[in-house]
Amino acid sequence: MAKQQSTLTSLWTQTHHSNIDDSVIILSDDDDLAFQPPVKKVACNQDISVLKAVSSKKAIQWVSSSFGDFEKDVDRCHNKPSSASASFLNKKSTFKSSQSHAGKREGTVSSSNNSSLNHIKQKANTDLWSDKFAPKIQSALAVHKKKIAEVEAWMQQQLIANTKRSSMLLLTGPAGVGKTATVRVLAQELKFELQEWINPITSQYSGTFSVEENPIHRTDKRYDAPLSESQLKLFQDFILRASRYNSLDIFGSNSAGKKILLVEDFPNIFFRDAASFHEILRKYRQTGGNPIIFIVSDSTRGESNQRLLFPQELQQNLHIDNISFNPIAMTSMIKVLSKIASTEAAQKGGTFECPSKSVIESLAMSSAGDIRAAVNALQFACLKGICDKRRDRTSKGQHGKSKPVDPNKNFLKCKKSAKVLDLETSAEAELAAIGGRDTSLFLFRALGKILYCKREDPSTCENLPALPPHLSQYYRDPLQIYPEDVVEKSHLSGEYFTAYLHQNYMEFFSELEDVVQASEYLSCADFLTINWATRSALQDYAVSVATRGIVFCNTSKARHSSSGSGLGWKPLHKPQCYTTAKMVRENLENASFFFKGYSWHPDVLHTEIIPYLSLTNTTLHDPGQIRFVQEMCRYSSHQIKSSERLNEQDVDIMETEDHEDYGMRKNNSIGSFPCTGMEVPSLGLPVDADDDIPSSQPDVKNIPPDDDDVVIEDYDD
Amino acid sequence: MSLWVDKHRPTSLNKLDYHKDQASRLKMLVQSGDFPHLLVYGPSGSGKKTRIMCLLRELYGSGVEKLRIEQNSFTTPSNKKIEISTISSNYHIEVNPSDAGNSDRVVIQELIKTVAQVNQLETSTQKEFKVVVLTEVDRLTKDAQHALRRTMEKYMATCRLILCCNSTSKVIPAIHSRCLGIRVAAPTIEEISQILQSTCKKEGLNLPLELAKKIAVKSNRNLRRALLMCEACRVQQYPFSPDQEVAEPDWELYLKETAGMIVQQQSPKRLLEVRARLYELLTHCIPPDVIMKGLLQELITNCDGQLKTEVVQNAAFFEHRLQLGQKAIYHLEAFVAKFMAIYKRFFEEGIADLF
Amino acid sequence: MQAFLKTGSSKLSTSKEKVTPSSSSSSKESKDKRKHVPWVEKYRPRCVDDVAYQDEVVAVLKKSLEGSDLPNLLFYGSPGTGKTSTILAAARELFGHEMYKTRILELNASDERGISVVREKVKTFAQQSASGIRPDGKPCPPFKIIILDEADSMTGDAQSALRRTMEKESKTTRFCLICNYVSRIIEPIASRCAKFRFKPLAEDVLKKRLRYICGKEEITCEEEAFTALLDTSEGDLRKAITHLQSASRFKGEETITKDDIYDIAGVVPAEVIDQIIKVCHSDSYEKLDKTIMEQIFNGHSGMQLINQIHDKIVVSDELGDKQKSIICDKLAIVDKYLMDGADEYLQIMALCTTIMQQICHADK
Repeated sequence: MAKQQSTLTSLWTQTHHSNIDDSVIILSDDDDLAFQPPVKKVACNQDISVLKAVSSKKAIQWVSSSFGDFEKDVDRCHNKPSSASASFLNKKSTFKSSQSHAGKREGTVSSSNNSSLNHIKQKANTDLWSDKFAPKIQSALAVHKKKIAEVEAWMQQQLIANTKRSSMLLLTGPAGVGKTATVRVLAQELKFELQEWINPITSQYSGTFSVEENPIHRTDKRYDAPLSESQLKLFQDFILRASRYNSLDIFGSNSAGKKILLVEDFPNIFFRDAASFHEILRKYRQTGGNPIIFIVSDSTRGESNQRLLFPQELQQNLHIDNISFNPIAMTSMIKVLSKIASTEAAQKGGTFECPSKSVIESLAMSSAGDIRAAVNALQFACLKGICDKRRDRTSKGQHGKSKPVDPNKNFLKCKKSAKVLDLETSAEAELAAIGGRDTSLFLFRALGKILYCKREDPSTCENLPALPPHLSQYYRDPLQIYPEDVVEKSHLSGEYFTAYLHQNYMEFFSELEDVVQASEYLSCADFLTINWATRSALQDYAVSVATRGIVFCNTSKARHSSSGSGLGWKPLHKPQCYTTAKMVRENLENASFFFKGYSWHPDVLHTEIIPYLSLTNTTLHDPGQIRFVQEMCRYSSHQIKSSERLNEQDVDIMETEDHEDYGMRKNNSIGSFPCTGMEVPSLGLPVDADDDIPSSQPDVKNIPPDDDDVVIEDYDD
Repeated sequence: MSLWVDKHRPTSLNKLDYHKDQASRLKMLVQSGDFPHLLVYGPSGSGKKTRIMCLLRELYGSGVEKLRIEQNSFTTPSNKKIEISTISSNYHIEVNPSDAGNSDRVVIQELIKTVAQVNQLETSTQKEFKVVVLTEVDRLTKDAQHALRRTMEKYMATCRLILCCNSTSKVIPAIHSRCLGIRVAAPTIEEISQILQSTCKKEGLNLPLELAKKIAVKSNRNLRRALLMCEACRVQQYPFSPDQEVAEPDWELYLKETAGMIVQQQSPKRLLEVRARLYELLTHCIPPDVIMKGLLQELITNCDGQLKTEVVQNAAFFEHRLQLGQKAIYHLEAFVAKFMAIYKRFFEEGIADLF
Repeated sequence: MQAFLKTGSSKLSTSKEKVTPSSSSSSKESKDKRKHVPWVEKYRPRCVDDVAYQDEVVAVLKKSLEGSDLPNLLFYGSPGTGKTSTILAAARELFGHEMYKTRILELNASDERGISVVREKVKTFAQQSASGIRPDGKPCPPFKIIILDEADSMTGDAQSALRRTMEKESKTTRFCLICNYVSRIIEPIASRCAKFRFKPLAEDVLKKRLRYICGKEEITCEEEAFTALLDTSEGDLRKAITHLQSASRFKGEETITKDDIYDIAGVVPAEVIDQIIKVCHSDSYEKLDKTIMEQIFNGHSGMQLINQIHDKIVVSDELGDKQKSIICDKLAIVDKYLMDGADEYLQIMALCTTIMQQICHADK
């Protein structure tokens, strides 16, 4: 009781909003969060100061606006029993659609208030572990130390920098890797006041309470003023005005520290019309104010949201710093999961046993770097008792030892019969269905199956069709795998799977003629999908052609060989074509940006003009241009460039190019371009135009070859 | 940024250095007053844009040289916004509609409609029509080309179109028939070396004839390239010497090296290395078909007669796929692999024949 | 079309002079007249009788002009054979100047013709009622006409949306679809229409018309030039007239020769084709390479080269049937690849090396 009381008081001293719409879990340091269906909290912007001052956290949804009411409402809300299990899945699936679930009581200021201690006790049982064990101190964060240090450095810079030109920070990364958590923890430690923006829902009121119709209500605060203002305007107010006013010092909060605005939940309108968002940002930049942190989660297919809201150009012009978070490393995740598991086991006593290490590991693997999902999966898995099943199976010693090392080796060496394979995949599937991303076959394994293409011993199979003698070179022993199944289980689109195959297939071939055939099949696979209208239908056939082509053409594996393939373990890489395509796109965009005044065809620009710009002594006025030309004329002398390694546990495909290794050359990273504003070079078209006095000369020839931190892979063999 | 290409570009029809009879015909066309729609086509670097500018100047006088860049935005019927940058003067507007990708039809219709509906002030010196210059017409979608042809007819009174493209193969015949075709052939070697010499003279440099010829040959009858090469030569070494090395763009050198690697060894390992180099070229925004053609030229020189036929057939096959497909690297790699196989087989047969 | 309409309706605008109909003599302002009006528009047939050479259609339309009903029409055929002219002429005759605009709705490929437009515009127009009397008292058919030009570029969905409207409003509205390929019109629509095929025009008809125009425009043209015009136009009168007009612009007052026509039409000179074939005989890749590069540098269109090579090869006596069939096979493939947008040089080289192989190593 006392403990809970103290936690309560600590709650009051925090002055930030909790962000609830993040459906399931808030990885913030609020505990005792009422778990419930994602509900939107409404922020009434007209009472901004009130809003902020009241330290709210929990989104207790059924809360009304006035201060005194909440106990009743809290009661109401907690009378809804929902089993953790049932709603958990629900929540997971409605993750993104949480925005649409409007709370029953619209409202307003979510005031926090869990002053009622009784409720806390009640709720303790039904809490989400991801909230309960949310990190409160830096060392508890599972994020890489360097990243935390970066964010911290930025925040500290804000303390000393003058407020004239306020800066903005953009945090990106996959969902659930700890972006918001990091921000909150650091803000707390550095004594920043964090103000957050939550999307208000106004749709319900606009009909009945429009200001024009009911002028009375305008001033009547009792009904929480009808918000007939657009989200856009509200957001604008928040950004531009919120920082001006200090929050009310109601609860003795420490408002002497600097404020940081946090925007994670972007108003929906910006996804349709990003230009207005950019406008607001520009205005903010001009008028100044407190620093803002934007958090954008990556979607699975590339960073389209990030691109839309924060295009490179904008980031460059407005000096928005960009820190990208990586998926949480396996080791830290396992550490965190084990700690949580043991804590819970200790607390609950006999209600459940701590799951075994292998269970935790498989949970960690299936969550693919998303710690929030992993913790939830753990909670759920423990409840359901699946760990028992896992333990039974693991005791048989077949799958997975304590370390997930070289499952591929295991795969090769141990002779599993088909039955065991099935059992393994079905249990995996079950576990995956419970907690993790729903992949049943890790990409690494799937690729391995195709590339190593094990075949059956023909003597064990009956009724093999025989080929006539003139076609005998096409004879192959029957396959052990079914390629279409493998592709399906990997849950990747055909195009990506083919790209992975293309990246890696060549190391498994020893004959040139085989490679010729296989490469032609891959070319066919791409060619089948040229017509956008029929692409979805033909994609399956295309990937079938590609996989079977590779399997068939590999004459060195045409026969069943009982002693293994003899190839050893080869590392697999992620497809380079996507990163290349992205770089091409960016380069093209930059080129058109820098050479806007001239009407050159992009082909001409890149094959003739730019190379010769570096060879001739022309003066370029824009340092950005100079830098760009330099970059484009540099050719790496390394013979082999390695692409990223594919980890065995990797599931996700579309990685952005940021990762710890900053050795990869980036043509347009923000820091490296000294931006001189958006000046278009003067049109030096006809003879009459004169050139300005040359300001700088491009640093031409003889640039030493770039020593990228490239690891050259050694191939076994 | 002023390259010699821009600095010494002729600005009027009188000052053109080659295809002079065509220039005089164009002049007559302007004077006749019956100015039709034009379709200017020819290989890259042959002077199409230059001629269009000269023509415009002939039509409107020097006011046409005051250019400004504008950003126009159009909305498609599906409410997508497209931003296109245009270069315009008071009398004409130049736009590249294929920048809009699949929505180029909208750009064309809207733009021409807007231009056509704004009538010129009726003074005696001015023409009654404005000119819209569309570049890269061969990259337009068929949809856009059909829309273009009707638009051309509709707004004939107030608006003339000058279309510019590299080859008329991809232009639908309907448009071809509505326009007067102006074929701008690539200048000959002699013409190029003459132009180089006169340009150098204007710059106050002395260019020996042999070097001029050398550059002209290397430039592949592309005048723009020749001028750029000449400028690069000047940076390298001046005074010129007749046997000077002509600088080539680095990507070409890189490509040549790659071709050398292919011929040197044919194995999967080598293919992997070549793949990395191809990626490098692609990253530098060299278009994949240019890479393929460049590779072909280099590889062919290492082949025998019969082999050349086979290699060219394969190149044509894979290049077509490359144009249509989405992953250029697959097709490039398949072509290189095929060449390796052909070459290897030829070699082995040659060796077998010896014994 | 605009120009045509304007000239028909005797409205004076500053930039256009009143162009008298072709039957009467031309006025004295020679140069200005020619300024902005393409001859194609100027010499479009005004009445149904003037339409050259398309007998069936003319018969049906004439009947309808005399009072009987008009079915839904589907005109198809090669370009430049008079499809649009016919229906426009018929419409003018039916409705006269005043009612023309209100009774006709024309939509062509440059207008928005998606499903939404079909639903709104077409439907609304179709639902308006049409009276049977002209403002000047004469009777006119009590229906409206919707002309859908270039109907083959309408999407299948838009066409489907159209068919219901066609049925429902058949009392007051007639549709006239014009297209080049009837296969691109969906079955349900094609079955609701009376189909008329517009044949490519015969040579003498073309010649007659061209001579007439030459006379009217006071330009001289060689006999060979006429032949050249016919060759390059392939039965397409519009093409022929446009070439004639372009040639006259270039030449001014001089006589038009056949070289001018060839130049304008983008035809590759016959000598070039001969040279290419000769080089194929020589079995030297390098020479072939040089020749083809030369032609590409000259700016000749790849498709044009291929077509002309095809014409030469097919009638050549030097090649056997088997060789010809192999060459034509390759030709078809190369043609398709060029249509898809492949590089011209490579494709032509591929074709020519095949020809070279067939000529020189026929049994391989």
